[in-house]
Amino acid sequence: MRMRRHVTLEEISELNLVPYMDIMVNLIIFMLFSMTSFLQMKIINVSVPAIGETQDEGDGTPPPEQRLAVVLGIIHKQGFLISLNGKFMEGTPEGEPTIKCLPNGNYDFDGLQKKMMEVKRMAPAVTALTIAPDKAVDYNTLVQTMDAIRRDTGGGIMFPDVLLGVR
Amino acid sequence: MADDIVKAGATGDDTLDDAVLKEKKARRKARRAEREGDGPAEKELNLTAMMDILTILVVFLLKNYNTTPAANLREGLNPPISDTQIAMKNAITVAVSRKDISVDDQPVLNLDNGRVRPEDTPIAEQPLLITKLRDTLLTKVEHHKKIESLGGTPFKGEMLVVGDRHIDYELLSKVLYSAGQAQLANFKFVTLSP
Repeated sequence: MRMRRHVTLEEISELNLVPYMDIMVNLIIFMLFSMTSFLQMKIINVSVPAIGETQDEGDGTPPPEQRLAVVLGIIHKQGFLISLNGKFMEGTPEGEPTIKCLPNGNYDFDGLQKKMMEVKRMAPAVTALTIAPDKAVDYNTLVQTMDAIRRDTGGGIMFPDVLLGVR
Repeated sequence: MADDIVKAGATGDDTLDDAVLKEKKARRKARRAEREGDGPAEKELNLTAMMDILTILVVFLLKNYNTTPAANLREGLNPPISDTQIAMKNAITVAVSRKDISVDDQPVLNLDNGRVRPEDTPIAEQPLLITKLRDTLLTKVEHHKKIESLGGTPFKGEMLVVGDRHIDYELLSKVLYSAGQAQLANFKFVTLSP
């Protein structure tokens, strides 16, 4: 007697997905471990003054409102010293920084941002400034300073073009 | 003899009917139990939904895999956090920690707790110049210029600086000065997003 096997429709149509799942899971684990882009990395563009660089004179000279030379000094554990066209900013106490450190010893980045907004109002077209930190200032403070002066409290652009100098 | 065969056949049919009936009953019972939710109801896991998730994940990971360049971080090399929105790009990478300086993941010189050893800045007239670093960067620059001359990516004098947040500006200025001596002038500080 011939045995007849009843093959149901369910048996025919179901694909064995388990090996495919294995490959996928292994692939995901490998990729997760090998990629570091979960740490979102960004960059800040910075320039240094070129040796022998001189101020452009003649026809290329920018109009007066674009000629404000802003220098922001970072004094180690004391604060920020702002100078405009070679003179200390108005309101800077004699022999002291323009924006002092907070009583807890931290730099006052909010105070700096407000002060730089005042500077920006003086010369709205200027986007570049020089940062001149003390040798002992740490890199983190430098980056936080650049963050504070890049945009105002409303998100408007202030000084995104940074030139690094030395004090 | 013929009667016996008929009897036997009848008995066989009866047994078959009983078996079919029993099976039907069992199936009905299982279906009822399944409907009521109190039976053993062994259900197979639905892999299709799982497959969908995995496929989407793989596609997402593949899309992000090689498009975003990333610097290799290690112990003692924690870049500062910044809210800058400029995306990373490929360039010569100089990593500066308090222990050492490396160029494109190759160690160039060791540091004494964030200080450059005097023998690494041998030129008295240029106290900021780290000669080993300048020489290594010059080799890299020449390599990039050669690629450019052969029709490859144009050399723009760009350099990524992956600095530890605790290094001081004195060390950083020495690195930037040495890079400047190797014709690199467009610096990009690598930071982490908050």
